[in-house]
Amino acid sequence: MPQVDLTVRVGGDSAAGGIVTTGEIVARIAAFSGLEIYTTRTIPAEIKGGHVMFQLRASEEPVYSQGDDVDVLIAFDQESIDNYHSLIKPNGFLIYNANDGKPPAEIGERIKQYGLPLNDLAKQINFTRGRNIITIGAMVKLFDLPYDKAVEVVKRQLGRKKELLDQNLLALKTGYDYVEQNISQESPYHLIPPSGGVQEERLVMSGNQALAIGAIAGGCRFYAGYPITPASDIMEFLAAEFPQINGTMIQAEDEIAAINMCLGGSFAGARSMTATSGPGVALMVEALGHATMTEIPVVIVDVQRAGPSTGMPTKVSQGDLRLAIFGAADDAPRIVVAPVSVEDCFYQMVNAFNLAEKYQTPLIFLSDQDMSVRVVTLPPFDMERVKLEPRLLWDPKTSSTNNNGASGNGSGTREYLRYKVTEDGISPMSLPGMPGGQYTAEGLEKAESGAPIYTPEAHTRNFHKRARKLANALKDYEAWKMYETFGDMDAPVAIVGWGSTIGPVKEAVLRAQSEGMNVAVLYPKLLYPLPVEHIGSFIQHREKIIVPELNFTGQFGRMLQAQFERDIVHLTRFGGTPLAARDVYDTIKQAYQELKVKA
Amino acid sequence: MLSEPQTIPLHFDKVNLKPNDYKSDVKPIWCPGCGDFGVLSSFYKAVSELGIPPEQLVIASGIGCSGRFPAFCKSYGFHGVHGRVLPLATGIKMARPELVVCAVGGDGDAFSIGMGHFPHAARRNVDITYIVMDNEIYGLTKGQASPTSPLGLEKKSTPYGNVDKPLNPLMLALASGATWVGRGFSSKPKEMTELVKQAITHKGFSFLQIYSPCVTFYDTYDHFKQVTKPLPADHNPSDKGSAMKYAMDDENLFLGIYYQEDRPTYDDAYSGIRQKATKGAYSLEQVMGKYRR
Repeated sequence: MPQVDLTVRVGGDSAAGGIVTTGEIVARIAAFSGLEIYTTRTIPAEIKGGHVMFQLRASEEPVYSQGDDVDVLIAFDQESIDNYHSLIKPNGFLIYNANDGKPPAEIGERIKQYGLPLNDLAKQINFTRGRNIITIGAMVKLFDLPYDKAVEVVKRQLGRKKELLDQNLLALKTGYDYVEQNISQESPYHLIPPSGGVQEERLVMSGNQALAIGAIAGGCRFYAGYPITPASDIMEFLAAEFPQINGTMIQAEDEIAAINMCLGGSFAGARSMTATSGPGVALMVEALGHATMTEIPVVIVDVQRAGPSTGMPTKVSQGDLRLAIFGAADDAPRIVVAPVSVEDCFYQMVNAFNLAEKYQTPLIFLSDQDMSVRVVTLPPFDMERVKLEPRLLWDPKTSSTNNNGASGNGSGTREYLRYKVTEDGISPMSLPGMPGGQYTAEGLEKAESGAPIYTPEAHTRNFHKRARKLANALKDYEAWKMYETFGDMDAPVAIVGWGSTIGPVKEAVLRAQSEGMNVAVLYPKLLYPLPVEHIGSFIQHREKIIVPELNFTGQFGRMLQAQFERDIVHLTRFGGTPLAARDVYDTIKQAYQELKVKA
Repeated sequence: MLSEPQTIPLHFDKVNLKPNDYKSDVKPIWCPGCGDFGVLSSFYKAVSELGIPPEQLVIASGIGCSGRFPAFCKSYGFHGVHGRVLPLATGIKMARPELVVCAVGGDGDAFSIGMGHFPHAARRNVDITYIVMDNEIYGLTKGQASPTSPLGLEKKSTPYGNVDKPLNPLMLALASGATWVGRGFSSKPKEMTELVKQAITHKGFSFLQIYSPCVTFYDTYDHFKQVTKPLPADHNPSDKGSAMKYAMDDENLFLGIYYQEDRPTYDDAYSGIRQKATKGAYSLEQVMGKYRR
């Protein structure tokens, strides 16, 4: 067990402002001091007012989940005290605003309580909005974090306005001094950074930031999107970056326009993407089918949020798997990729663009709200691992007749066959501007030339072509190792999951294995086409197969059930919060108990 | 009827091809007598006279009889989904500003399902040409009322007469900020060819409404022959007020160039953004650097 492993929850009303900022700054101070961090948050969908929760877990070793219970609760208001005090571990403590809340008597001696007179302290320095920063200063002292790092982070995060920065630094000092003079001696927690401070190179960023950088690394140069929580900051990121690299970012009038702009951009040759959430994907479904039919590469990021309909826009879900795979008129196969962590968002985006381009297909990238906003420490991205796979372009030189329809020669028939039936299903694509490569990207069923045709033969042949083409992606799944697997490969109990639940699963499996309950874990990152062989051989000899996911019906589990005709233990959570490591652990334990009974 | 087009250099080296050289080997599926044949012929003629290399020309479309237009041309084409031709064309143009991009479609595609995109393409001033073949009816779905069908029209979906007031496409274009607005009639091929040429030559969003009757479900040839006439000689296309006055006339349907204005195009504006944003060498290492602890 690491010596330092601390979970801090910050709660308050967003009307008071800055709850998330408070948490993020403390998280960054911890990261800048050399600790590994993992954060999560729930915010209201409303801009002004509503309860906000931010949770930081900091450790000297990598952290995989947000932590089930809290060591320290920072409560800015009464609601936060009332809601969360029961989560505080024995020996944990509560920090609350003594001017705006009172711990209930029943807490008694169970946990230590420190009231900070935040309003009074803010008044003293004439800075009523400074309560958050005062709290940060207090936490820095309480956790023994280096003060110089705190100053560095505050400067970096809040340094844009000079006069405000001076006030903020004064507030930081005020909180720090108050704790030093009044409570520091009793504080039982010390987040003393590992000796020597920062040891490893680390980035401190969120999933959406990693994803957007991955898109740039993956060669994306065309983005069109429509604002939607929790995907908007991908658009905002690329709006700042794309103009610098000759890329294009368009804020479209709606999601339907966004995806169609992307199809136009990709048809013209640019690696194109849009990012949205479930409601946006629902609007894009028609164009997705069209991309399959016209064989145009495009990447659609779905940062899943709790639905259906408007649902809970700021809460997490993994409920769009079926929509991603099957949302279409008729059978319109596309590739579906799911990253498992903030760091993985980068690498899987590169894979996503390579797959979409290679197979001239739409690709849905399933992130989720929790992963998108979660700020963590991670190793710098390894650019050596980034290899771009180009789209297979038509080469006029290899064509027997190549000048038909080109400038200077208007006679003859079209020889270029845009939808040429090939062994692997991939047809070389021409781009506007290539003489002789003219064709019409056609949503109707078509002949190899692209000319509309409605014969049963053509339709049958093209269904096979479109499906055959995607099956190639399974080779890349193996070659690019688009999966994670860990645990004991001989274990009778398996966990097969997808997406960001891998964190709590990792933590639960470590705990279970330390108690002699071995588990084998597989997280495929390619969900369609489904890596049937790999998953099949992985689960073949297992006695229990647990599939954890954040949706009501167990969408992935049921896919596996249908595919392999095996019983599945569905560990589903759909309340809008991330999966808890404890729930995974309990399910593993239950599985082992059942195996014992059976034996 | 038309003044000499203002010559704006296009991005290609002119070629010398006959109108027929732009014709593909896919045969039009339109009913004999359809106005769209006239539009297609004028289009071949216009791009031939402008000398546009077929490989530099992209024609995008949506769904409807007129949506089949790209396949009949030996240019690049994109037959998109219903109503989304403008986003499609915007994407193509913004990814590759050097291409000549035309969007084509009908009144249902443009003003019903695709209406949400029309004002945005216009206000952005995307440098594309949008030709709407307006027959005031849904032809491909066999004769339902469209957003430009007149009041009282009795058709399959309006057996007791249409009660939805028709839209005024020209007013929509003018109000939305289109920088070139014109109207033609498929039975006036010479004028139509000239309008297509000017619309393509105009730098910015050109909107050309062409009355193109549907012989099968709503034959309006005689009606349009009676009520259409050239815009008065004193009309000045740089005068938006005058353009609106003539566009609002319910008695006479004027043909010609209603409005033309010079305004930076979307791709010009975005080039400006690129210049503003670029601060020397760019690398992902640098981007990552902002997130290093």
